[in-house]
Amino acid sequence: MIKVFHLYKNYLPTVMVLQDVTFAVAPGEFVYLTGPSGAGKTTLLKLLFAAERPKSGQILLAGRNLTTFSRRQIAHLRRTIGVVFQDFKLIPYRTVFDNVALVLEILGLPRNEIKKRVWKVLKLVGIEQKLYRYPLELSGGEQQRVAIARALVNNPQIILADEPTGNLDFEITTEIMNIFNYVNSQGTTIMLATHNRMLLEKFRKKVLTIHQGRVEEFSWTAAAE
Amino acid sequence: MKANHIFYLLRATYQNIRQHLVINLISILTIAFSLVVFGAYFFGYLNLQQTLSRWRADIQVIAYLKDDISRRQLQQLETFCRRQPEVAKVVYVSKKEALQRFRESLGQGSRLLEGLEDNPLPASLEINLREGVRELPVIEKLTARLAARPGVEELQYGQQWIAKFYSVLNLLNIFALGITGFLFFVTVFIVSNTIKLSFYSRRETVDIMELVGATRSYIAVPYLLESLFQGAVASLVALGILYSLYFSLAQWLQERFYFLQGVVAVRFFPPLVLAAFILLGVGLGLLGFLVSFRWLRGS
Repeated sequence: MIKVFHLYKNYLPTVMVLQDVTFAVAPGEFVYLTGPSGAGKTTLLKLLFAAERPKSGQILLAGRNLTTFSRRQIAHLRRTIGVVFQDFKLIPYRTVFDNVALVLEILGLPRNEIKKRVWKVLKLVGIEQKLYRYPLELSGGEQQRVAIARALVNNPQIILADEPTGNLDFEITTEIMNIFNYVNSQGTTIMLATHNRMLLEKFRKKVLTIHQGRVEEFSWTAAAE
Repeated sequence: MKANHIFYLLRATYQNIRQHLVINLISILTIAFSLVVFGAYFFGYLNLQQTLSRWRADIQVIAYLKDDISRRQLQQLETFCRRQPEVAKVVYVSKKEALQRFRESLGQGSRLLEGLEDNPLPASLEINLREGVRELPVIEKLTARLAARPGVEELQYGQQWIAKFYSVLNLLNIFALGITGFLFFVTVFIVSNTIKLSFYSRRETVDIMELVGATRSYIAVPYLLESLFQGAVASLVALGILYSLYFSLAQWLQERFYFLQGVVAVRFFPPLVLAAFILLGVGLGLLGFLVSFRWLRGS
């Protein structure tokens, strides 16, 4: 589902953020992306949803080469992948409903269809009773549920999550991880960046470890071995 | 674009305006203020032009006739005048009429004329010129032709006054062009910066919309509509303010300077200028959007 070949990325001419990164994630897999702060996790995710362009290398998402995409093609691609961030990235002056409905409005779906799908996905993440609240009226955990609902609403093949539980306590983190696990069990490929050791140990998955911009290890967590 | 898209984009525009009501109001008032300054200047210029045009319409050539001009010569002279391409109208003023007019213009002082035995005033032909040929060189050519005709004593057309009038008019036009350009530039600058500020708080929204797969044109439409709305409403507000100012000015002029009636006429914008003013507001909104959105995307 995700194939990366010899990927290089730099921001300054002399500072290489990612170097010769190569890996493959099979369809339906759940992979942690881990490593110390500044290792290049966020940069790698940004490259995967085309918020950044690589210096060299290839990225294949569902068989399509991202690196050759035009701006319009990138916009269309993003409608088929769900992205979740640590800081939620919700539009503060739109209600929960409108935030989640955004992707479907962009697709031009009829209003009734949007209502049905938004309700269904909000029910899945357990926040359907806050439909007409604004993000700032919600707790951090609730905001993250809304962000996940937005990522899920168009039934994406891939979900990319950058430290989605970074700002949340243990209990909420467990609830959020349960949602991700459920979505993964339905066949969605997930790549989740985290440096939370507790998470890696409690929810055992395959781990892609990056260190100083290079792939250090790509294997199952120690507890599973 | 699907019909659903149009509905969602209009709804997004409405939501943007409603959710950012204060900043929208500030933008509208700022744009309206800039337009009032521009409009007030233009109002002054337009009225001055109108007054000068009216004065220009009054420009005429008067041919004073010799006392011994024969009826036949007078008829020939009148026919000659009417045949000239520059001439719109010829009116014969007899010696008797001239005295009568003079008497009327003196009002109570007309008693001074009671002792007069002979009428000293000459008969004359008042020659009105066609519009567009009231320039000094044209008038000079016409008077040269008339002066050569028998029975003409003297020609008068306010030579010095006309020369001064046209030099003032030319100066005014050049000055107005400069001021208009400058004020327009200042207005564009203020409007684009105001719209830029009103978008500032929504930079992150643009990023989020791009992240969820919106194309740039889809993101731009609500901002474009919002800018056009701001421009249109601001121009209407500005017109309201300008009309109140005009109304107060007209009343003040009527109360204080009633004797100027007929000489100086203050008029509000004609319908065409009103429409152009609203279009200007909308155009400024568009321009502000283009400058701001380029900046917003660049960020």
